Amino acid sequence: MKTIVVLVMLSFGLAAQAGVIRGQVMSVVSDDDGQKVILADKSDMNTAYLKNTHPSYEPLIDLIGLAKENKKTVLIQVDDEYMRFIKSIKVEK
Amino acid sequence: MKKFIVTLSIASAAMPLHASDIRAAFNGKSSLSIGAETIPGPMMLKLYKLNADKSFAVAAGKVEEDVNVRMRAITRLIQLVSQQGLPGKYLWSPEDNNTVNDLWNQKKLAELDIFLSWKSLKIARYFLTGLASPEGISADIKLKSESLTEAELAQVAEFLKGSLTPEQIVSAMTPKNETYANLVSVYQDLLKKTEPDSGPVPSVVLKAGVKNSSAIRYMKDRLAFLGFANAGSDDAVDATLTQSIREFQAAHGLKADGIVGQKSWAHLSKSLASLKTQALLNIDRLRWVPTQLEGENVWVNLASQQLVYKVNGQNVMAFRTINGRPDRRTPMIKDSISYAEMNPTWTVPFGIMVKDKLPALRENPGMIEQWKMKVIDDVTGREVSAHSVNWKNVNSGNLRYTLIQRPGAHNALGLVKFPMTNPYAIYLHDTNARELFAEDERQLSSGCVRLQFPFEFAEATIRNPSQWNVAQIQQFTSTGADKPTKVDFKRKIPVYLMYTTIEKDPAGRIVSRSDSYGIDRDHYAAIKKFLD
Repeated sequence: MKTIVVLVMLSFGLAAQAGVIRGQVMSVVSDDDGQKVILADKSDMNTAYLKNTHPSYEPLIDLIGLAKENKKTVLIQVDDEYMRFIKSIKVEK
Repeated sequence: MKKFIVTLSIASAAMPLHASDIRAAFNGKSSLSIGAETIPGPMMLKLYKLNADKSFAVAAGKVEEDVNVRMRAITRLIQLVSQQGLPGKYLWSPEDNNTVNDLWNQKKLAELDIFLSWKSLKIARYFLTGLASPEGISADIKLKSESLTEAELAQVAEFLKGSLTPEQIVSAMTPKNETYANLVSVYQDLLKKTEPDSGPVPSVVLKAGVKNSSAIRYMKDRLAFLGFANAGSDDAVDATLTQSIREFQAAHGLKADGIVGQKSWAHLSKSLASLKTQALLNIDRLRWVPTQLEGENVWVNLASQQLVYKVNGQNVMAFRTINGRPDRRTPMIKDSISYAEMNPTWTVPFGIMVKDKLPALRENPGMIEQWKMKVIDDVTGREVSAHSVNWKNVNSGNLRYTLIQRPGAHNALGLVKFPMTNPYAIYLHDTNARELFAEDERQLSSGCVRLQFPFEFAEATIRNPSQWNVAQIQQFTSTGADKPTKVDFKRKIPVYLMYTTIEKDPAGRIVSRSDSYGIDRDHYAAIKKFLD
């Protein structure tokens, strides 16, 4: 849970920024380059991608897994609107 | 070799030391500063515990003798580890001599004992775990730093007690793997060499028939310096010299075309000093893996694109690999394999899906059959028809489909895969482009390690030749099965993906590889202070 706290603090103020998607984690699909994360928010479905070169790749995988397991809503900031690469993740309380 | 001899100004015999004196020196603090050293309390108290909390170097009644014995032992220890690439001048400095003399003169015997014990422990730690920990050097190094094991700490205690000689503790601590032994041999050979005075590096291209006596002389000097044949004409590149050039190129992982261009000159002109540094860096990286490797292990050298599979410490197989391109580097990692997957599928990565596949599917969903792929709905986990999806409405932001390439000879992973456990999706596999193994430079993949002889490797690792020999694996994987089949090894085989850029080849010649992943460069930056 320490990881969550740290990452939440790092991504403070995320919701106010552009390139942020929100929702519950519906699905995580691995491929050779990272993990595709699919979020559902009411009727909307959004995709983001966590590259395995992200400096916090492993803690972020854990965070996504915990959010999915606990059905928590997450806010994900993507740094590329086209490729949807995940920059940071915040788990809502 | 620099010698580290301390002349102590011996005073009268001092009082014996007790456990309380050692603890008192730390005075409850987590560390103690003595001379230039900051000595960690918990680790030192753990070390003293192995001697019933008593001092090591200073004993009642024979203080002078004990200190001198310890000093001589440390001096010898430094000489021995220096022969294996640790920088002696960094391990003991002139300031350390002053510290010892000062502590002695001030009769600070507890501090003196702690200082000498700490210096020994620190040398052992560098020797066993490297001058720098692997974390933080490069994003491509995923190895974890190791602390000293209880057994290693006990060896240091035995050394400090005088029960182990410097030779014995170095022998016990020396990594027991042949790559390490090879590198130490390279380093020791380099120490004996003298740099030839070959003049400036030529900038011409040399090939058969070219006349350029100064460039040819330079090349012949350097070939001899590196242990390669250099016979042939001094005036023009003849057939004999061309053959030597080809051998040099092949040994260095270069295209063996007999043409000396930029890459060949770069290898030929490496200075003795840079070769020594390269050897030291490579030795240091070997300290990041266990001193005693598992009897059965797979060792991949990412720099030379070679795999060696050992069982009971003996080479069972050795063959070529293809690993990550310099822009998609395969990380250095310790992992394991525990099963083979026959007829693997391949999941199309998100980037390829968005940039290549999605535009093509918008034009023609029928492409899916041509690619021998299927479409999976990520939310339901079920296969859907490519024709049932309106691809024109699908983009990177709402992409809920994944393309899976069906098993078969066309599959990007070939016919057999050996999954590992790391989160970076790095694993060993066959390939559908086997012709690439003929290339001399084989850093060509997107990060995974492709195997030249995957079926033979599968047979050897599965260890059930009555059911899974090469012929049966070929038969099994040729049937066009639609699903992967897992074949369990019933054990874990450690896999080391390492990066060794210099070695002595079977002919005893020192050969080096390009630092194409930049790991030598980054490692040097991390330990520069030890080497300058």
